[in-house]
Amino acid sequence: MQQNNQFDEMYNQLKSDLQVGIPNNLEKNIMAKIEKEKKSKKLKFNRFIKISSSIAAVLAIVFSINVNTSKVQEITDQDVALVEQALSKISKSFDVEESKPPYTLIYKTNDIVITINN
Amino acid sequence: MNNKQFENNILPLATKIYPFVVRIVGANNATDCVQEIMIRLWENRKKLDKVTNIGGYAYRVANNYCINFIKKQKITVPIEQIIDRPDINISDDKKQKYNFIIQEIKSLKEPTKSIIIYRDLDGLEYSEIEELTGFTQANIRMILSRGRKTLRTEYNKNHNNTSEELKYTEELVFSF
Repeated sequence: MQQNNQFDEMYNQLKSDLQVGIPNNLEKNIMAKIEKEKKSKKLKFNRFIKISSSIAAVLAIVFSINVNTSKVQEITDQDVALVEQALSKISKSFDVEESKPPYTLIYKTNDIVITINN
Repeated sequence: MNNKQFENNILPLATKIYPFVVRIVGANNATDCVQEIMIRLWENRKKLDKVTNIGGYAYRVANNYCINFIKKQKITVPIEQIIDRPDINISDDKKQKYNFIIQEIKSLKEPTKSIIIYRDLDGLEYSEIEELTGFTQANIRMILSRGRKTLRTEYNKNHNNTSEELKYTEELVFSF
């Protein structure tokens, strides 16, 4: 019994002695990093993405994304596939670990410019 | 979850997960890793409203992040480092005893080993261990109790021998 008590006492001491000290300003530094991250995201969202008019039309109709175009063409299956691909890349670009910014992606025919709003 | 809610409810978890992260990635990498984990949580703050056990979820994110980190960095951090940290000031005698316990924890089978570490060394709540391991809280309590019993038995066995030896020495001294 006495030995059990000795063990329990020692075990509790171990838990207390081995507690890890928290660095000063940990939370403050995290917030600073988050603020920095927010700014870099904002810059990314303000970039323009160039895509074809037909893809822009699909984005406008199917996904309700604002498209600055008056050119609405017939939408083909290929367009839908391209949009899906584009959207997957866009969503990937919002991932923290993805280093490529959004404007490096998609389809460049230069006739339409859309902005992606978060 | 908006920024203010994140600051109030999620940010304080950084200090809670810090010891857990130190144990996995080591003290040198811990601050950077905790920052990255918190940014990951911030990125997913809109989804956090649906999470019921936010503490457990944070530990799960931290665990996944740290495992990926040590894989990428090709590092292994032995559990003994929690005793050999420069910020710990304990006597050699205590250090020896603690080392014994840590070695015994190391030799426990899973999931006992992980659960003992989560609860007794990292300081997780039962609900957080539940989220991390998938065991019910009742099971966790049972596993913990058995694990601690094993540690106690091994410790007493080892220190009992020492006491026996001392007793024997004392008897010898008195017999002279």
